[in-house]
Amino acid sequence: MSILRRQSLRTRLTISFVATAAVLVTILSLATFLSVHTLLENQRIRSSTRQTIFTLVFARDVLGSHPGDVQRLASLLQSRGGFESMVTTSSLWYSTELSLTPAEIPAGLRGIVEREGLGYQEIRMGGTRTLVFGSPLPPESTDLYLFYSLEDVDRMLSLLGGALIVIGAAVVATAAALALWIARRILRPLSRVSAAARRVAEGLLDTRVEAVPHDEVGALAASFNEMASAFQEMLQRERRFVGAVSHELRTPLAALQATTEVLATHRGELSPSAREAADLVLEDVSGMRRLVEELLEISALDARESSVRWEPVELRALVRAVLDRRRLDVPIEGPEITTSSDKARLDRIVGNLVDNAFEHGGGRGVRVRIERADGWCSVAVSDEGPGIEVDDLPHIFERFYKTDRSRTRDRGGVGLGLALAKENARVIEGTLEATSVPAEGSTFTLRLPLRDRAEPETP
Amino acid sequence: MKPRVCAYPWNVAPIRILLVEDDRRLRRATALALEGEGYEVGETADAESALRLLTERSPDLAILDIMLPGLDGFELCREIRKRSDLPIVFLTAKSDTTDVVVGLESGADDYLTKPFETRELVARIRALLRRTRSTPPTESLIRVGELEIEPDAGLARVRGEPVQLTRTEFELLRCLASRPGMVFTREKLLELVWGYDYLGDSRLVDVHVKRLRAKIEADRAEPRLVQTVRGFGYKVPAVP
Repeated sequence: MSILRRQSLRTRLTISFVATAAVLVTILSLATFLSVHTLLENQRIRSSTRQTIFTLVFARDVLGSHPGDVQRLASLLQSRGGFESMVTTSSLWYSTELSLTPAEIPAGLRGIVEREGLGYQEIRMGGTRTLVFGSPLPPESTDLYLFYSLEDVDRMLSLLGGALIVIGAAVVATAAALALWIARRILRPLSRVSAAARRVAEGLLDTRVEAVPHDEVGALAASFNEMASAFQEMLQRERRFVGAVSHELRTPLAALQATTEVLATHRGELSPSAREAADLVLEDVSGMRRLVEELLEISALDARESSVRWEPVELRALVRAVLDRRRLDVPIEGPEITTSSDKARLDRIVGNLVDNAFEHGGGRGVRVRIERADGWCSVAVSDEGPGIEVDDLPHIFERFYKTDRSRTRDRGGVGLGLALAKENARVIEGTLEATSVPAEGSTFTLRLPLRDRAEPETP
Repeated sequence: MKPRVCAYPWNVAPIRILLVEDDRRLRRATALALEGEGYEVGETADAESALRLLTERSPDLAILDIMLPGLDGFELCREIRKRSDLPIVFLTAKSDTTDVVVGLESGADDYLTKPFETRELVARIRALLRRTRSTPPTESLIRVGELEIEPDAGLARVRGEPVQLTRTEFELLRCLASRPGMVFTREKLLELVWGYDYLGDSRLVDVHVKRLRAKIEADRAEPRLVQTVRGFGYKVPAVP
């Protein structure tokens, strides 16, 4: 059963159907065959018995009118149809068939006849079942044996058996076909539901199951549709909320930014404590600005609203520009590679990786390595910082994930930078992975499909 | 002593900027920051008074918020374009939506996403107001086929007819026509015309080319003067 449970529903249904049908058909066929078999044989035995008694009466008559003339009896019996016969005396035997000898008569029957009784027994004679009736006749040690062939009964039974086998096979085949048909009928709407669920999981939230039957599967599909609608609505509400919140934050943040910058230009005129306060505000405002921008970007990525602009990008130059803008002196290894990608997103990813190497990797031994492999190219940013603990590594790309170590640090945590990098990598059909050896350093590798085609663009 | 860049040309009249923003704090803060950079700022919260200020004060550049009470930023932008070709920068809270394209199509020259640094805003303003740009050296008259440009006079003629171009459109056309046959990438154009040293929004170029074509091409569906080179950028063909 455990093997069966592992099969598909369709296979299971078919196997159960066929097995049930086969068992039922076998039982029915056997019952039919056996009862017909018994019926035919009993009938034959009754009719043979009757005929045997007639024949015995006739034999007694013949021997009564011609005492001792066994030969005459034998030749008279020859003219009667429906059976073969044999008359035995103590020394001689006459039979209506050449192949018939007293050796054919079984010992059991001979015993009954010797005790002056009428009896019968089934024997196999020349390959066919034969009923042998035996009875003593009036002259001393003279016996009459009659042979009734059961060949016609057997032929009829084998015909019946063949018919039953053919019918049984047909029933089983029909059951299999029926099971497959029913399974398909039941499962087709089910597979539509599961395909729809898969599409929803992929993010196509407006997927619905259409044209469903009004049965249990239809109810399932309807529930699925309801769930998808509710889910979509909930998600949209949430996204609208995040979008609205970030949007509402932007204008006051812009005002805050401008105000603090005015403060910064007059920094020299401030008292030392006011200057420190101004510096703190400035730092917080720029941090908050970055956070809001990242929140907005990630909510746009979640909403899959953002488009990709494919254009030729020279990776080395891009990395160089990212580093130059940050005024960082970081070595770049590897060849010059041009591929088609989204420059702004690549810039974001590499920038976030470099920032991460300096903020969390300590900035020691930071280097960028560009490589090309079969159909792929990669940009790897490595550092020789404290590394990432094994427990933290699988979560490093989660939003606002905080490692134990960074928790103790001032407002530590990876924030959204790496999550954004990963999402952006996905959007440009690449992958982003991290490897790390604690106390030795970490490497973040961005892999991109290597391609030279330029996407059609709006002229 | 190292040469120094002057943030503000003291010897000429101050540059006047029209700032239209309905959020009082952001408007004041931006005005303060711009005044700190030496600009003269005319502030207003709505489109009607903005149009009045436009005629009264004749500003050199306008900064518009998109979300305004009454006439919104896009409509205001179109109204201003009917009267003036001054550079327009608009402020948007959404950068990844159609807002940007609609804003540019209604006649704006550049945009900034809130929140922005004053540094960025000033860089945008300077780039848009700079008359001579770091483009290849040009003659006093550029003639490419049906196109005739007088860079010093800021005049452009197509088939002998003068065309009315905004400053940015003119710069874009002059830049492309200064090297007939050469393909300019969007990036290069962003650098030369808009003054982005890195990663500007290439939609700026696309929308401006579209606007430029609407004004100079005989058949917009089959542009002959400014052509698209798929996958690279734009060019003014040497022999059109």
